Amino acid sequence: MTTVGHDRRSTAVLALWAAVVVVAVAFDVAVAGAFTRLHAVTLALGGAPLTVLFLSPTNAHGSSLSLLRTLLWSSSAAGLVLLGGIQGWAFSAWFVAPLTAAAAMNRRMELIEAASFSFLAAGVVLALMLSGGAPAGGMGVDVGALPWISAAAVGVFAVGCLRLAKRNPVERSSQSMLDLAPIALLKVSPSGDVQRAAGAYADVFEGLPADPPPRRLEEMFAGLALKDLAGALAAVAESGDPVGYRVDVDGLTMDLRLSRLPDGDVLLAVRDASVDAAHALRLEAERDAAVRGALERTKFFASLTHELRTPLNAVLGFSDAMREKLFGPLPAKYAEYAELINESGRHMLDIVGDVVDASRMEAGGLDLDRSDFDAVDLLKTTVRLVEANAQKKSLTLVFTAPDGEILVHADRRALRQMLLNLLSNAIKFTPEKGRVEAKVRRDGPDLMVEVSDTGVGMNAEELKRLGRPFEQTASGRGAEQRGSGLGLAVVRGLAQLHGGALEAASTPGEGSTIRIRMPVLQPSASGERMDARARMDRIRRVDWSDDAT
Amino acid sequence: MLQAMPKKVLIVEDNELNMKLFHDLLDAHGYETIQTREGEKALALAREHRPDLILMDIQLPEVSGLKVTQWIKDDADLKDIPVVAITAFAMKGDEERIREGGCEAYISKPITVKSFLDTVRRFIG
Repeated sequence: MTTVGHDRRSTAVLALWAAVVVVAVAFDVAVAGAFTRLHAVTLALGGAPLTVLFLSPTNAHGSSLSLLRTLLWSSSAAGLVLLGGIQGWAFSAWFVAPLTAAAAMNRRMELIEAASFSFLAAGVVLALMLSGGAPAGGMGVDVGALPWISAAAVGVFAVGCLRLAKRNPVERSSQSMLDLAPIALLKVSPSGDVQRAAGAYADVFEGLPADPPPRRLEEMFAGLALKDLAGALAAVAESGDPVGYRVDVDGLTMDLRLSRLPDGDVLLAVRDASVDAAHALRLEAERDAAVRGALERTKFFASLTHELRTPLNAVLGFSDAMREKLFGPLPAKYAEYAELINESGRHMLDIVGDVVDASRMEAGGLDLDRSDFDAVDLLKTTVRLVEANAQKKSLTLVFTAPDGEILVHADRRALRQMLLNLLSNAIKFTPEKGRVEAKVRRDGPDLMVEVSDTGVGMNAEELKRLGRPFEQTASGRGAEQRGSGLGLAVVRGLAQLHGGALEAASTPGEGSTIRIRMPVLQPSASGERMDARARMDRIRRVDWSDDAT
Repeated sequence: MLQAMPKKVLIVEDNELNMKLFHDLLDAHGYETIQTREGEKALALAREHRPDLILMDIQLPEVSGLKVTQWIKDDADLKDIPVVAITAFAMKGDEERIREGGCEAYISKPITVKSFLDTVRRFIG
């Protein structure tokens, strides 16, 4: 709502009117050859609106326009007495028309009012002209050519007003912009009169008449909401400081903003926030449920581990006692069975561990416990842990590391587990007499840990799915090569927690190389710590949907 | 094993099979066992039998093994008896928690016969 534009237009309407009056009087004086009392009255009444306008410091503000109209009506009554009869009424209407037209720039009703006044004036003047310009009664003033001039003046004024009203691209375009607004806009007088409704009024105040809208705020708001609003309205009208607040009415949530307009009225913006409020509530509930769910899942897996480990303890313990022939010799077959029971039990144990780690990582419940240590030393001892397993399959197990230390800032347990999982996989999937090699080195700001084998390998499709829980390659599903596929998922998750990634390359039938790359090198080792840390901080959570490569 | 007085081990473990496993392993190596499935009874049994070692399951139904260990360590007469925790919890921080709880050592389930016996021997030969 461009109120400044509105003021300018009101002024223009009044100026146009004054000009029309002056020209009309001047013409009539020229025709009649004398300046009569009627000319003086016409000039005085015609000029009055403009005078009052210039006297008013607030320019054509609503309140001064109202005052002006009152004055004009009074003076029109005087004109009625002076000129007499229906002719006087026409003139009075003629004088009021510009003022109502000026005010009507904003209000449809008054534009109609102004138009009807002009129409009435024009009609009466026309009637006068048709009757041959008969002298008016009462004062017995000879009006001369005035009826003709009046008709022309009314015509010019009406056309001028129409042009002005139409020539308002600013108002017109801002009006359509306003109507696009997803909020209801109300122009309200400080006393609560609704002057105008725009924007999404009809949507927000569903069920209320839209055109015209209710005349009073009381018809739109009720109870406490109205009480608050009346207070806010008065405060904003008084101080000019905008106010915004939220109210709940009959299960609806509304955001209200009040701001004083230059003309002294208040712009009231009303937004239906019920959907927002409900949405926010639902989001909150969903988030709580998700957090609870994740916690419960982690708890569930923790207790599941315990429940599984307890019987596994009996399985492994008793079979181990048999294997160790603790209570004397047993037939070779039974000793072999004991061995198999024990091995299967261990395999189950590994899966249990992986499931727990994977679930905790997915729930975001796995926090890294970083410390500074030598990665070479840690990895070397880790490789030793699987030596026995490699020997069982007559595999060549090689560990390659550069001379000296590689100082890292990482989670020891995680790094050990990552290498352990990679090595276990490599040993599991490499046929007898094959080769498994673990390598560690620096690469820029990254620590690289690589495990390659001469195992069954993976094709492109399998590589793509690598590291997702329960995805195991078809070629890997031999009787002796069972696994949940969780091992790699855990490695990947732990690498990601460190800000790193898992890379893999493989040729089916020839072997695979799986590489962990993590920005965990210490400054003494790389000098690019900031870079590495920055990357680390960016990636906090594990995202299973990422591709491994 | 020829010992005048067999060493006594108090086993606090709620799972029947695990109890049998620990008992059998210890029995086979000449240890005498006292058994209870309830943590509440452990203190009284310890006072009565004065075991040389206590094997304590941490996950007990009524009262936590850590709590029972604390009772034992708070008792002037019993505090010198070594307590070895046995737990299926093997997560980060568990070991520290158990050590802070006053246990001298920690065996995680599932056990292997060798490491179980090694740990027991470490305390009572």
